[in-house]
Amino acid sequence: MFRPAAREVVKLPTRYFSCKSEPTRAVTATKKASREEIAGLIPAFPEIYPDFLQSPVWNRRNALKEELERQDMLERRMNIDIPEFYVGSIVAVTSSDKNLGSKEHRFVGICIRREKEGLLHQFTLRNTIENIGVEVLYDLYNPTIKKIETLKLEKRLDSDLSYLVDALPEYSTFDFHMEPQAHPAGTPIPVNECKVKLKNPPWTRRWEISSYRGIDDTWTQATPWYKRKLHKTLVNDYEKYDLIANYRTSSTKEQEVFVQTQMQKFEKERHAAGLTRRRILKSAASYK
Amino acid sequence: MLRSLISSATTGPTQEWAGRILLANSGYISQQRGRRRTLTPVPWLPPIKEHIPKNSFDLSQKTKNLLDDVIKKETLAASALARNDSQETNVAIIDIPHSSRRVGLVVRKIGMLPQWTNDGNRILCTVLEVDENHVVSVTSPDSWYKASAVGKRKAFNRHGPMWRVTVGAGNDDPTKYTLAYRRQFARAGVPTKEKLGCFLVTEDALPHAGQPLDARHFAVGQHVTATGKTIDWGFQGGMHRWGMRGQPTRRTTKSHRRIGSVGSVGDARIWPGKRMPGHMGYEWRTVSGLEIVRINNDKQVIYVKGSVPGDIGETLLLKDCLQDEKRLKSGPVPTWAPTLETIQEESELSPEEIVVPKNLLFNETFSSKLFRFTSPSIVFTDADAKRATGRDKTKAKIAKVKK
Repeated sequence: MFRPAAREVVKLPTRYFSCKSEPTRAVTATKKASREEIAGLIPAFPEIYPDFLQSPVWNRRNALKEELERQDMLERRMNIDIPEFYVGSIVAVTSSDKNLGSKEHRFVGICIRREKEGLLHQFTLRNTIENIGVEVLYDLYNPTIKKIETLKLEKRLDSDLSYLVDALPEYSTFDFHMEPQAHPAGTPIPVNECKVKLKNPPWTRRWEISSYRGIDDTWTQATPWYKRKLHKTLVNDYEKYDLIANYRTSSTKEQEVFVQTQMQKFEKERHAAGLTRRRILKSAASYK
Repeated sequence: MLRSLISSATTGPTQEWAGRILLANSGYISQQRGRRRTLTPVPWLPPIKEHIPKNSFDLSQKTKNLLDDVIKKETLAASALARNDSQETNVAIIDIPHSSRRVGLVVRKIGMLPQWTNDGNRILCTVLEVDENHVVSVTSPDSWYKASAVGKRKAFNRHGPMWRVTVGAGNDDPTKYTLAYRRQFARAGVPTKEKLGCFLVTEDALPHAGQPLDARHFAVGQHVTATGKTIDWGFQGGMHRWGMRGQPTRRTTKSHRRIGSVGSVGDARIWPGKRMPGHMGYEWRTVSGLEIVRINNDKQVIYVKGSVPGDIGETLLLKDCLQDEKRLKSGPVPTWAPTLETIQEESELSPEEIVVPKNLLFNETFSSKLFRFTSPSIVFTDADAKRATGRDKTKAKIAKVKK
């Protein structure tokens, strides 16, 4: 009788499809997650490492360019500890500035935006200093950044907190001497379900027709002029009918697994060479 | 001139477009609206690509596999032959005279990446891939100008007679191309190429047909000229096409992005050349004076500071810059070859600094001012701070008392 080789028996199906509507995947979701974790992969990879994703512009995806870029990014991560943080986390950044007396500057604020992929990745911190809202945009891979600390690891209801610019200042006021709050390893990232109160209109953007969950009742505050003029239709209301929107703009599961294995390989090589003990691929929620 | 040469070689004419042009030239239509885009190859040139329907031959799977195998081996053999051949050629790093013109490279733009300098400044770089470049043919000035649309003055200009060197980039499946197209590669002994580009080269820097070209043809710190096809934006308004300011957002209706007045009262007409909305892009453009900041020798990738014409994935011609201050003073002539490879000396590093073993890194050359991601974060000292120029204007001017 024909018996397959042992190698073939243990072979796992490595091909996942990122289509959310796929019923088989939804059923075996818990099982698959555990299998990923056995391989050292992180289920929440796109949230923790948005800089390692592919560009949403398909024209800009090039395997060679991504490989060179990833090499630079990983080299940088060997020299600086970039912690896990999300939009809504409170982050402190210490960067060198040659024109300051102390030659370095520390800024503390809430992360309100994380955008772009690869070496171009940027994040914005917001704080209120002397009653003036200050937003500082940092390049994540800028070599003048000396230290990044996550003072409070949490998420908010939205993945973009741009509306804090029109919120009352107490929602974006953080103490510069804030003590870092440790996140217990292996527990899920807490979601701060705080809903912010906006200032009176006019606003920088039309928040009342946007679909942000973290804003407390915008419609009553909108000016009567807008209420008369406009329907209560959300800006991107039609997007829910776009069945492949996720596929078009985000990277695929296959790509995520590939990037993670590359990161693991890089880590292993550096550890073997005795250069560092730093781990690049890690997650606070799935820590073992 | 180069434009006509390139357009004749790079892509084959599409059938429907060729038909339209011929119809326009047949005499019944007197006027052609718009400009003829000269990047579209002229219809009378022979086609390059040949489409053979898959089912026209009844090949068995075994034969198909054999055919694929033969093609693969032929490509490999041709590459290896060209590489061996280049070991024997005479190349040297010498001073380049002012009148000399070297060959260039045919590269592909694969994206844009930020890099940082040691001062902490960000520079946005274009990443260019040099994909299997080989010299396909070298034509003497007499023979090339007679067969082309351009005149004798291009071949015998004030810098002396110019040879035409055709460079091919990117190996491709030869079954996709016509016999006439494939023959030129067979003659040079190189694999069939996807893209071709021509350069005008003086006799003292002439490579031979079949010679492979490397990314190290250019050096880090050198300035280059990039030539290529710009993005085809289609019909665009004055604000995008010419950078006009447009008109106010408020208190105007239906003319927020219009160009405004187009003429004066005197002679009631519009002057020729008035900037107006129209077709933007899809033109042959050159940008010169771009600095090379980093070269990856393993992956044959060149990082150029600044932007080059065209979209990602487009093919460009990369040449030495001819601006006086940015001209290449000395370099490999006619081109770089493995015989010029030197073992890099270990640079002096402080003992506490961690050195990453070379086998873990790409073989790369960096500009001295570029930050390397393997080094630790930048820390500034007082010496880096900007010096105040002149006296402190916040303080009152006090006359010095002579003693």
